[in-house]
Amino acid sequence: MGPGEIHERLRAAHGDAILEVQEALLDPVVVVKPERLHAVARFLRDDPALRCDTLRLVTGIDRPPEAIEVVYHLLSLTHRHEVRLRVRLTREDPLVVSLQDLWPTANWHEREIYDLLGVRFSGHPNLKRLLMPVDWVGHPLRKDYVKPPEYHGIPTDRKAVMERRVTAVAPAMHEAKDVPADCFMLINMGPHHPATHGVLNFLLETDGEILRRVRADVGYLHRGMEKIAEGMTYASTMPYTDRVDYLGAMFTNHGWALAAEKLAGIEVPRRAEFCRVIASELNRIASHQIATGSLAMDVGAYTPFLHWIRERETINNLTDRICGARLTYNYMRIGGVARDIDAETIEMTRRWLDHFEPMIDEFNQLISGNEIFVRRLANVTVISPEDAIGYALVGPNLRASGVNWDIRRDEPYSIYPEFQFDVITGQGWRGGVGDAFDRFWCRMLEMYESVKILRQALDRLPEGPIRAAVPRAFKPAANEVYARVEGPRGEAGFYVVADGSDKPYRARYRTGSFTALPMIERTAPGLMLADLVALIGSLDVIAPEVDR
Amino acid sequence: MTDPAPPAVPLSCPGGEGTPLVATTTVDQFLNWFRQGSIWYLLFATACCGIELMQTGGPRTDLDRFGAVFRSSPRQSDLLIVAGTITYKMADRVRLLYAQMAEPKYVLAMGSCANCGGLFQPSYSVVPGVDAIVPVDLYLPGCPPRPEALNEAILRLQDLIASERWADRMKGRRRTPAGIVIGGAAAEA
Amino acid sequence: MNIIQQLADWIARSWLHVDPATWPAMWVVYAVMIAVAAFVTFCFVAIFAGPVSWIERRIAGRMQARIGPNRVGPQGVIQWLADGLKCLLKEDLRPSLADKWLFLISPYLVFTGMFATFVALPWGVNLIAADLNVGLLYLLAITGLVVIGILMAGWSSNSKWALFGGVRSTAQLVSYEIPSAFALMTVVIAAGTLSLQGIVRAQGGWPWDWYVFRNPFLFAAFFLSFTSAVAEGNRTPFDLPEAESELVAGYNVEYSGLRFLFFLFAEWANIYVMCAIATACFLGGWQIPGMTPEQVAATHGWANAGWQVLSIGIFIAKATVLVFFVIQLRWTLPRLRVDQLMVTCWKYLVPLALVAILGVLILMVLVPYRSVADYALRGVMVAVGAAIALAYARRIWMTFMADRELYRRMEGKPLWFPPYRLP
Repeated sequence: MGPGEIHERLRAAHGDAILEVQEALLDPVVVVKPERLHAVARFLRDDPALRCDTLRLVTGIDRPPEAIEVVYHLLSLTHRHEVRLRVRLTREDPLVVSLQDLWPTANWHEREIYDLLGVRFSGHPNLKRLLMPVDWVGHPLRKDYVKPPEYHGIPTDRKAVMERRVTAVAPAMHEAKDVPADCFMLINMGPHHPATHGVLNFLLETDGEILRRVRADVGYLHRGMEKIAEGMTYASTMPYTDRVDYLGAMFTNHGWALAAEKLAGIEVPRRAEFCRVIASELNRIASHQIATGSLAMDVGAYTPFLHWIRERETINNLTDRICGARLTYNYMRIGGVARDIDAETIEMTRRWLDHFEPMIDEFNQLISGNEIFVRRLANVTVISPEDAIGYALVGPNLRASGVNWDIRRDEPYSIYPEFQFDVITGQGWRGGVGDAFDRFWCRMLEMYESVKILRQALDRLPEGPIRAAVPRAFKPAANEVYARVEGPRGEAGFYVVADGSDKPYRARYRTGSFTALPMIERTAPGLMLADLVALIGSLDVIAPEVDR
Repeated sequence: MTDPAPPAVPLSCPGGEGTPLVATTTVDQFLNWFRQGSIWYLLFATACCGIELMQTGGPRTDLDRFGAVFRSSPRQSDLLIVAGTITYKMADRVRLLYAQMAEPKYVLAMGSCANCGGLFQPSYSVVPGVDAIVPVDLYLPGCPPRPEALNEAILRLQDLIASERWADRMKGRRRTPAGIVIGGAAAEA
Repeated sequence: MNIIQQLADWIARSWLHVDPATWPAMWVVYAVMIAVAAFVTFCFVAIFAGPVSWIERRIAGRMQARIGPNRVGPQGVIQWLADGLKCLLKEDLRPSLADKWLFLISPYLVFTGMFATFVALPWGVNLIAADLNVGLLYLLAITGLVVIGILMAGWSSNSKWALFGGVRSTAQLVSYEIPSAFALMTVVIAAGTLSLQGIVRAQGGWPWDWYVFRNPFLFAAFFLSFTSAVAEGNRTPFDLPEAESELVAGYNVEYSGLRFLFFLFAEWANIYVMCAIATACFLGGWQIPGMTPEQVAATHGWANAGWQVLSIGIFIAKATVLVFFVIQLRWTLPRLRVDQLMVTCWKYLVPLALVAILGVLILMVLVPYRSVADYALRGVMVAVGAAIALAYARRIWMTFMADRELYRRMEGKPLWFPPYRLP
């Protein structure tokens, strides 16, 4: 359904709740009254013609001096359309109803908005700070926020640090605590832990080996990228998007460039699109290598990870030739790419693809068919499609649960429609559909698909410019856009609010790992400790995506 | 095909490369030779530099050649490679990890974020450099540093170990990158 | 023949000029000699544990397409000395809330439980430090100290991760003692003695005289015993107690310096011990093909010494082949989850071991020693064993040749930087 029909249907059902329909925006938004939000959202979810089954993104925008807005992006996987809602709240006491009973994924989004903007959500079961430390004062994303001079004795200014560098640290002394005898064993897993794929902290309540409850404590890598983006020009924010997902840096670059290009209406030349696809698919393979390798390492097999590290070195060489960097590429520019891919690199990539496809088979021979490996992953932590949609899982996690959704095919961008590739969905290859093995195997098969796309792209690479003409002072007109790409961890979405200046007014990053973590809290009860490690590894969570 | 000899970059200490700051005896040299051949680093990675740390342990630049393996427990490690951005929420944990390590221990600040906050200096939640939390022995620039750079840092650390006295280190006397010896009996938190 | 007592008596007579049988302070000499013997055994064990760690890291490197330690000493052979000396030089940390005495002694318990097994291993013809007539029982019993030590380490560290590791390890080690003992029981039944020298002497030098190829049940018992031994040694696929990616170093998470070194040391030496026991019980031990122990005992002087050295060499070579295999297992296989581990032990290994014992008993009755049927069985098992060994060796050789072919193809190409030379 097109936006016009959606708005008609909504007006017919809840016409009195709608304050305004912002049709001039690139992605039209319906502004509703805060007190009617829940009813409208429920209608959008349950109406058979609209069926917005996923809540994709919840964003808070500070509009001093009067209002704070909360914008909801809803997606219908069945009908392939999007609906966007907006509520305006007062800045002194922003309060709105929580939608987490309709879509469980709203839980963490709302906690983050509470943490960073101070909006309270009524009916939320656990409205506590998510990303900032518990004793932090203030709401950082507000426009009038000022950085404190120090926190717990650590200065916030580099010059102050340089004057007073630490020379010694006292030994750590702990107090013995009395634990009540009737509670479960409370274990702290992380933030420094070899299995948590970065700095994630899980508080486990276990009954011996069996977990009763898992609470995720995140924010140990919250670097305030969204606030930084508000102070940087569009082009300067590109390196920061690398660090949002450092294993899929090309995709976040691409998403940001897409958002900026849509805002300014820039068309990207063909050769640049092909370069983008080539670089992206190479990056996808590299990211899946780390994902599958570290899953194998978490389960106990150290060698496959190192074999993938060896293969990844060649991809790093290739990207080094393409853009100069091995990990945080900063390759895409608004309107195209930074450097051209020369003929020798193309030839090397072709030869490497011939070498690499048998390597995937060799990896599978080593570990994927191994009985112990399969026993560790098959039928372990099965995620049902309803849970996957309700918790807004994306990417291989969603597809492994049987939901056939790939942004490259279903919300096409760039030149992906011109390539022939399969979308891998979970079949229950070794156990139930949506178990850890399915997620692992989806990633392995996606590597084959990426090789396919790469071969097609390399063969059809046209001549031409690699960058469109973009004005030096890039000042898109005031508008809003949500651009998304299919990264290795799923949807890398960029919701950008432009206000006509050269800096974005609000930049919001939607990442796959952020919505995958609450899935861990949901699936964990009843698992064994070893299964929790397999679950975290199979969901392929990365700390900077969670914390930004 | 031979590589050109790498340019001689002096260790930042008075006297230039290889000059020991304190006179080491033969016993010290003997002990240091063994100590530098077995640097166990803590598998601590926060952000992107962690991936390059893993790649450096990989097949092309194999840190295990120098005897440097990763350990998961801070009690068993000698070297804390702070790879990645440190936020205020994480700062106490880093300090705790450092305090849990057994002397003699070293800290390598890997990457721009650990050196000075890197490109996240404007942020409200990033510690501008891990030397606000733990004493740093070596700074390695890069964003992220290439495996060759991390390799060089380990070799520099070996030079650092070779140029000091074990007994001094155990008493807490360490040398800053500018060559000044700090710490010791008067060093408190 | 108790060599230590003989040496002590000789010292008493020659140096102290007293009669060993009547001198009241003789126990002092005995105590000193025992201490010296323990020290010599310790050094001997170190020479096995250390290089095993170097071999493991080099093999792991080779399997992971990298090199492994090669800087400390030529090809890195004294890497283990560097590790050991560095651990000695570390500060001795003890968590303030840890149980002081248990924390301090548990590494020594683990170490003792492992090192005390070396005295009962049959190194060569007449070369065994303590020829106990209950040798195998002694070995199984003394390794029980390891269980106590690990549990003590896990509990006394006052850390939940350590507790997890300690308790898991106790469950694992105690459970796998059962199939291990049952599988070794088949050998005891076949040999008729618990003494390790007796078991080795009951075999012969040629492969068809080894117990592993005597009959299918002993063949199965070899694999059962080997699997249980790998589990007893906390090696992957059974390395849950120290599962790095789950438990952050498991039971030794709070240990540093020398005490931690003892745990590592015990683990590496334990690999050697379990392979040595398997060699002695199943692979013919030190038996020289073509020479019986009586023939060796009949030679004198340099010839005798030569045969003794050859028998030691054979024993160590066989044990080292098994050590390679254990190391390869660690770096290939993932680890079992704790309930899968328990299921494997109790539902699979224990019944199979009981079946093996039953089978050996039946075959002992039905198939007389050195009869046609006996040799037929042995021939079939040798063929099966040779087929397995050849297939294994062929796989390794093919991988080696494929690697060499790959390097030859990619030599000089800019993608392959830098070219990795096979060691």
